[in-house]
Amino acid sequence: MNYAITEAQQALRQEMENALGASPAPGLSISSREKLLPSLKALAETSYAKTIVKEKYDRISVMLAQKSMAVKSPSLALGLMAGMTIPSRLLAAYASEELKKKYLSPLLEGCASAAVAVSEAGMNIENGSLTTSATVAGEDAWTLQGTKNYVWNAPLADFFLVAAETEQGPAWFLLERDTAGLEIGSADETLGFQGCAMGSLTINNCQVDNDLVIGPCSNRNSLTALRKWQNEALISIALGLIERCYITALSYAKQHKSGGRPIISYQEIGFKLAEIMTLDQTAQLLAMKASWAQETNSRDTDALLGCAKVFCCEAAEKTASECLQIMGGAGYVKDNLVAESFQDAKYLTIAGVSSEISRMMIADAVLEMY
Amino acid sequence: MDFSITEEQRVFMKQVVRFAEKEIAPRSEEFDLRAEFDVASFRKLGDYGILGLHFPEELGGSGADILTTVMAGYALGKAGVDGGLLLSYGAHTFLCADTIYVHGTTRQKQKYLPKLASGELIGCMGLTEPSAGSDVASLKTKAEKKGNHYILNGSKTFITNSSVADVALIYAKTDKDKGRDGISCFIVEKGTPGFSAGKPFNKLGMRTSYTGELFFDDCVIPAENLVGREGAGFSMALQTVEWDRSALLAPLVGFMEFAIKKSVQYAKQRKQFGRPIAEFQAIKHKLAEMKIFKEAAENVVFRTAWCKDQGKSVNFMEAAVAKLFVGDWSLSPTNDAVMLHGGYGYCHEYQMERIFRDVRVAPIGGGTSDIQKHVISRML
Ligand SMILES: Cc1cc2nc3c(=O)[nH]c(=O)nc-3n(C[C@H](O)[C@H](O)[C@H](O)COP(=O)(O)OP(=O)(O)OC[C@H]3O[C@@H](n4cnc5c(N)ncnc54)[C@H](O)[C@@H]3O)c2cc1C
Ligand SMILES: Cc1cc2nc3c(=O)[nH]c(=O)nc-3n(C[C@H](O)[C@H](O)[C@H](O)COP(=O)(O)OP(=O)(O)OC[C@H]3O[C@@H](n4cnc5c(N)ncnc54)[C@H](O)[C@@H]3O)c2cc1C
Repeated sequence: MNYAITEAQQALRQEMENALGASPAPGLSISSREKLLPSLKALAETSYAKTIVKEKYDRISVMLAQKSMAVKSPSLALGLMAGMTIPSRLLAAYASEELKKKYLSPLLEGCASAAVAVSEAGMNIENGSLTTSATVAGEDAWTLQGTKNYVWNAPLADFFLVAAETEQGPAWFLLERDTAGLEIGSADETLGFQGCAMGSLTINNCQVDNDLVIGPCSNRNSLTALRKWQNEALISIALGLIERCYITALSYAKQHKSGGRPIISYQEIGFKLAEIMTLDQTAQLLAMKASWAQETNSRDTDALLGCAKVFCCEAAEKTASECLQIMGGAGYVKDNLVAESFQDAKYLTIAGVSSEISRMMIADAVLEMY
Repeated sequence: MDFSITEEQRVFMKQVVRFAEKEIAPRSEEFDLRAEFDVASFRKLGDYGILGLHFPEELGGSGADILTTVMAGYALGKAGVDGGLLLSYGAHTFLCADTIYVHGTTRQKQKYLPKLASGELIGCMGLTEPSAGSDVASLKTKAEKKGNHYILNGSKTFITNSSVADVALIYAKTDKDKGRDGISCFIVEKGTPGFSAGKPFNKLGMRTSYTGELFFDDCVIPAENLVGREGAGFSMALQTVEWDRSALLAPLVGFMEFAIKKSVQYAKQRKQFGRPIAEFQAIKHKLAEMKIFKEAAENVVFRTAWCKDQGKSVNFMEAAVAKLFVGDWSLSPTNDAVMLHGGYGYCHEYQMERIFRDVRVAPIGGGTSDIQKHVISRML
């Protein structure tokens, strides 16, 4: 056992901080192409891109690096992970060599971004099958039909990885932005992550060539893997969000005075910060253990990731709320870092595998253990 | 960071669980009902090598590292041994024997440690007083030096193992004007004239460990019973309470694993509305809460032990985080374990009732949660 972060584990995070900047940046937006591209480029110049598409790598390094993006800006972290990390992983794990050459390479080089479209209205992929579906259209093509709402980076993506059902099981369809029949809906406004672009896809009888299809596959492994990558991404964002709120509230509490004393000297404030610090450290350790476990064959691996997802994301929500409380009125005004994080935090418990479904999955794992 | 445990540690934990499930846990129910210290089980822990695990072999121990030692506590909890016995073990080994080991003279170590490690002697540690709890530096028991002796006067309360201890480690003021720098630590043996113990308190949980008062009435002890330097007692006590905030917490994490196991078995077999209650989401939610707590708590507790293994003798922040987390976050999932068992959860036989009572002390003993927050907030 070793509870210290090793130098090697620090290295990637250091690279990331050098490339993207380390200090928290409230209000940062990457919701236009002009703003997104420089960040993608900067990211591509670190070894992060090469690392995440490997079959085996040090998960803790990646978790720490992703966390540092979120300390700077949760929107930045989510935007980059939705536009680059997650589609890259999907392609690296499941696509043919030709597809990788054509689509993965530009992602890793920071010249393009993508979006992954899975979720649909009225269903949760943990429970049902997708309503977006594809049927064979002649020898080497498919016809794709369906609607996807809530797709991060849809307004900016150069191409989409769309999950759909076929008669032979689920498959991924690679749609370029200008594919005939693909309509990209304007972005809904969201409560949080306002620095990221979000939109919907309406897919009207899109013809997709066979060589742009990954699958179909008789199992749902790629969907399960996707959920794990999303969870890992959300956990790292939660950690970063906790840290940026905590350091902001802590320094405020040391400087801001009430009754002639810094407010941290009042137990009501000082003890809150102590609790937040405890949550922070506990969340970090659990997240690191869960990501470490992904590289082992322990039968607890999935349950651990679920525990980290629930704990870290709920801790982020609580932290953001308590830190805002500590800041008082200064936390409630628009466009400050803690208020922004407070709005962002709610998403973390909903997205990926939601807290509710995660708990059910943890319980299923526990029920199998004894 | 690396979370792998060695094969040796894995096997050792398994063996401890098996030993405790067979030899000790079956007696817990009976002794808890009678609120009686199970001295035979205590001695068995000694025979098995647990009481002196981290002491060197020449002093009757096994030379284990701290992490392995803390894992033993976790394993005992996981086996379903009651909290009282494990509190007695904790106070004996970590609050009493360890202080002699770290600060004692060679003679003190040779005289007491082998017998404490085997369980032939039982130890206790007296810091808390009726009017000095959280504010422990305000303790009033005094020790006056007279020639080759110290004379102790005062009283202690809430002392684990009070009435069964053969060796008491007592913190007293050698200089009443000096506050914390006037505190020193002494060994007082059972039977010393002027030293007596009160009747154990009747308490909510941890019922198989005795908690009570100690009285010192012109109690004369040899000067060589001073442990460490005069005036160094407070810093020794801080080091000691760190064990409260690591090793003594490990069984509580183990209890949660035990509660999960019992709850799973119960939920699968108990049927309501025509199906096992394990199929209800509200039941699964509770199981998930228990598992999340257990996974989160294990890391913070083991980390404190690991820090000690790295040669850092005091780790205030890590220890306070572990204590605060286990103290405050353990209550709700323990409550879940009771609720999952319905009415049976409220009855002694199903063991959740006992765990519920035992765990309740977690945010009180060894420095309350408020005090942990106080410690942490001052360091921020
Ligand atoms: C801003 C935004 C961006 C998003 N971006 C993307 C994206 O880029 N790509 C993508 O694929 N998806 C994306 N999503 C979708 C996201 O993953 C889903 O919102 C999430 O999986 C939850 O699904 P849902 O919204 O359909 O809620 P539902 O599944 O309808 O759930 C509603 C509530 O009921 C609970 N619930 C549902 N089923 C159960 C059950 N069986 N037992 C107990 N409780 C249950 C849920 O936990 C939740 O609290 C995005 C979502 C948002 C809000
Ligand atoms: C089962 C058991 C076993 C024990 N074993 C031992 C032992 O072996 N040896 C030993 O020396 N002691 C032992 N103790 C004593 C234990 O360490 C004390 O009970 C504990 O430190 C609290 O002290 P107190 O009970 O006097 O409470 P008090 O200090 O009187 O506290 C009362 C309340 O006030 C709060 N409070 C106090 N000060 C502050 C502050 N500054 N800010 C905010 N809130 C505050 C506390 O959190 C608590 O809620 C044991 C206790 C128990 C219950």
